[in-house]
Amino acid sequence: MAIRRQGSVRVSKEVESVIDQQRIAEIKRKISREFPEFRGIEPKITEKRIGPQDSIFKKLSLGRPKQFVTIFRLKFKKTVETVDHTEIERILVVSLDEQGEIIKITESR
Amino acid sequence: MRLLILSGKDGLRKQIGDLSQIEKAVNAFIKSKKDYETVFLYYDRANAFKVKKVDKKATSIRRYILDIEKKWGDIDNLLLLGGDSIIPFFRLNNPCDDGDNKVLSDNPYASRDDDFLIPERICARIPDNRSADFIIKQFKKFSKTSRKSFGMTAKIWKRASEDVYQQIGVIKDLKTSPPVTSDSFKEEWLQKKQFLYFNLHGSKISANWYGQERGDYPIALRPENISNASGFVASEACYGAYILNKSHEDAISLRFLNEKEIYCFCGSTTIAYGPVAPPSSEADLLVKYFFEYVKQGLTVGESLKNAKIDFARKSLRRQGFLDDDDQKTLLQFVLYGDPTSRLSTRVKGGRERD
Repeated sequence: MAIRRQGSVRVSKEVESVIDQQRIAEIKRKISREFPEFRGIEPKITEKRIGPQDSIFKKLSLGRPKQFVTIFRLKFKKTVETVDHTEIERILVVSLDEQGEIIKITESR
Repeated sequence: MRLLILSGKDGLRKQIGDLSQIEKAVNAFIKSKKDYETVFLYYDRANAFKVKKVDKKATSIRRYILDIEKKWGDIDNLLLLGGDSIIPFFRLNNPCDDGDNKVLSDNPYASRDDDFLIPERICARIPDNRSADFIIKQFKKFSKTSRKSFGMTAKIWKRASEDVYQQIGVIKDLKTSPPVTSDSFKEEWLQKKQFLYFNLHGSKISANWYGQERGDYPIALRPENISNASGFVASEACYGAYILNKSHEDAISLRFLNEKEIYCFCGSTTIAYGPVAPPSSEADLLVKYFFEYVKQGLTVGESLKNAKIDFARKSLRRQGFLDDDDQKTLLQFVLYGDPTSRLSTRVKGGRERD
């Protein structure tokens, strides 16, 4: 997927068409407010189209949903240093559905 | 129930030297497991099933297990004896865009088909720690009765961790780091316990696990903090189960297993993920399910297998799909120790059985 710079946000052409700049700015404000350690970090924004995961549904004896799903992810990444000078990669991921609603926020352990 | 204990003789001998004491301990273990039909094989030696021996490659060893299964019947439990230099972890493509080039995983050994996310058989590993005594110790552990648990979390994940810890302990007892650090840590916190739970930061290069409050990352636990510890351990720390070129001196997972009353260690080989707050997802959810099953009295092997299946079902019900983090969680969590170990139950006369 071609990534280009638009304003201060790294965003792909395809993603840009669905997630508008206003929504991205809202999420960045939320992350700055609730996760101050990621304040000022520019997220990497990606789009993923997920098809029916047939083999997983089959293995779990579940009926599978037929539709494709598109999710967007805003990944905030930084390297921090512990008190004993060990570097740890900190990752925070905001997953959005096609409407731009937050599905979940996860952090690396 | 069939149990296959599998190792590589050349690799094990290179790490340990003389194998006679280990083989003796394995044979005694086999005799003690009356509920299991157990076989001990070296994949690089001839065997009674007349399955062709193989080289020390993960894919070859997996093929070997499938070939043994064709001759012997379904293998319900698989115990890999040795670390990466004896039975290599699979290096699977990382579903997530993070610092891990590959995900070290035992999942393919637990799977009969090419979908490695969902296990079909119980699989655990006893790392070698380059020590015969360490290996022998793992075969001689019998769980004792205790009702208390210990839990420790980075302060920022307190709420998320409480959701996990409530399965095994009293929420108010959950320690947070900070204020707790390795300097104020008391060894007795880990003693005479049933479950030990950790939700801390980890690193591939450091021996320590870390807490967090805002931008501060204090050392929460060092290997040296572990002495006379007991119980079933699960950790969500990144690289909590990473053991390549490590020993009990610089890997907390191996340090725990070196204790005679630590019955298993469940953790992640790579960067793990979790929520910042309830509901539990990713590593939090998997560990929560793992504890639930162990608490119900299932073996630790069954508990991790069931936890992975339940984790996948729950994630599919919530979202309709397994995303990158979910898939990585399923692949990266491994179990160290005897997979047949379970909570002890008191029987008449006050004796305990495992």
